[in-house]
Amino acid sequence: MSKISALSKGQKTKLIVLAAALVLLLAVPAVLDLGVSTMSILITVLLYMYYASAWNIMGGYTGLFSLGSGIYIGLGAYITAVLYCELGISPWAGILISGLVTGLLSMLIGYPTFKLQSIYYSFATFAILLAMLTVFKNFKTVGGLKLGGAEGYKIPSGYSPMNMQFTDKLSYYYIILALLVLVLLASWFLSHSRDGYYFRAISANKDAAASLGVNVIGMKLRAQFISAFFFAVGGGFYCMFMNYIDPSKLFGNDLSINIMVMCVVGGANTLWGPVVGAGLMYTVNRVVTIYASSVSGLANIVFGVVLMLVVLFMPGGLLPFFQARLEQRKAQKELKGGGQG
Amino acid sequence: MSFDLLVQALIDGILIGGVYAAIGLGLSIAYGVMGVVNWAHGEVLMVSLYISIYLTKYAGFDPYLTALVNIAVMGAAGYCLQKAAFNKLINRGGVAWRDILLFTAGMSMFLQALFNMIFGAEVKSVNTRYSGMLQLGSIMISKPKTISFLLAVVCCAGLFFLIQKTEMGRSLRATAQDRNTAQLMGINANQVYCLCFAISLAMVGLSAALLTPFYSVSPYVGASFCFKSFIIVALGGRGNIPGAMVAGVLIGIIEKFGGVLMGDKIAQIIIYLLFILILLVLPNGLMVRKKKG
Repeated sequence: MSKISALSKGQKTKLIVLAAALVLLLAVPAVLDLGVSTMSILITVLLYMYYASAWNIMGGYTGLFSLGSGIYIGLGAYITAVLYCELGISPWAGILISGLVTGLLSMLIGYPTFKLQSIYYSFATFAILLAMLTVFKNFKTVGGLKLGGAEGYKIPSGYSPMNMQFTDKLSYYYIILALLVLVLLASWFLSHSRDGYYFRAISANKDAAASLGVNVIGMKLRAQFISAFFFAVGGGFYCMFMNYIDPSKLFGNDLSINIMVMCVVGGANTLWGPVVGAGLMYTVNRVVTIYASSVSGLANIVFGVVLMLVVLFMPGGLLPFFQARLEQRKAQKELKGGGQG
Repeated sequence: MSFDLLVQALIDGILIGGVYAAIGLGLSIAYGVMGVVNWAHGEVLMVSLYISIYLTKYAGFDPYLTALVNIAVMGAAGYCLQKAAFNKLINRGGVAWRDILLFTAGMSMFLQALFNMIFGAEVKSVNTRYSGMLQLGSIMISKPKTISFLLAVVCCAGLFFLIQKTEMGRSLRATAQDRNTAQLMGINANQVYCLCFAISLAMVGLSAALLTPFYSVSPYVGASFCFKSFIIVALGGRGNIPGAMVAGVLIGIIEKFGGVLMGDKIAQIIIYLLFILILLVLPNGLMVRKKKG
């Protein structure tokens, strides 16, 4: 009995902390005038947290170590933008459509590649990413649509809330905050659902899971669909925020690798790991860029070193590492207390 | 488009493909023996290229002789890296290839940014006494590319001999087949892994010297070579030396031939698609032997 009440007490404090954090995140930018550049930084951090959490569903829970997140982000951005500019479909509906279409496409990519050894799955997704980059960068028209090639795709701007066009940053901030909450809720429900257990069983041992009756390919397709859906929605949001798509950014290998790295550094396979990882890595990057702007590229050096150190000394990522430390300390304290009593 | 142009492209492709093979071989050996992939493979090549080009330019070295320096430096670096970091990652019982991939991804970012900081982003190259063309009718063959191709073939053959015929090669192959059993037979698997990675990086260092007379370097030159090496591993089969040679030449030919016929960009896309296709259809590579009976 006491165990259950203690657990629910812990959960209660957790919920209170979360609610407080959410209220802070909602209220602070509305009350204080943070300025355009700070708001842009906040939006970018939240976007990276969102991407890393989306990667976590396939890469963390299910063990689909994809290096091609950019495929879905880029496709989502282009689909949303083309629907808006060519057909006049509001991006609010456009990001949903692009999410569904990209999700289905991701299953087309996934079905044949899931049969590969896991390391080759990573390389196959990377090859597709590079192929997409080459196509979108070098062909001004793809399938009869003028996509602009390397110059990128411009989206006309102006104030129109129905079309996700705002003149202030605050509105975009709330949109990406809502998206982040959404992907975290989805991750939470997934990790506590039957599918989530299947995902982790597949990640731990595919053959054992299959022998216990888990539909491995089906579950992987489901995980990939969910991740791709969120990636595409994020890409759609990003292109409306920037009013511009730069193919070498979205389909470039830096973005995809960084998303994967942020998730793993924070702690893949945990709910808050990707958030912590993205927040930390982006903050480090910003701080180094601001305070050592005379030394070009120092941010990437630090980024690389942090990654190497985390892999070497904190297997599983930052969050699990510190959680384990905390629990160890707690256990030691209890042990000491028990000895005295 | 004349016939000569195609023959020219074919020869160019074969010549550069031999060097690609030597680069890819390093990755293939490491993947074949340890089952891990070095994401910074291209960056190691980049660093070696800087060493070769600077030695040739400022210390008066012969470009091909810089291979010896590169082999020593990169071999030692590989040995130490494996001993200090990779063995730890492999032995701790997680998903080894994932940890190594992440670690080397960090290494690749680090090296790119570091060399960008030291040498700047501009492209550097060196003029050597090897530059020049052999003319056969209307076909021009680059002299340094021919020399590099021949040296690459000789080195790959030498590595093949080392792996197939020497005691060290035998222990490498034994560890690749079954690490635990090899250890029971008295092979120090950690030591073998160190040697293996030393060979892997030494091959890259050697290949950089082969590229020096006709190639230029910038901090971001590694990525394209890295990906070509992945393709060579997939096409040739893991740890398969003749397979890697065939795959390297094939990629060279597709690149140059496709470039002439359809433009460089389409040729690039064809290479990516070929890579995926090969993974799906022949997951063990081109050279896999059919099992008898």
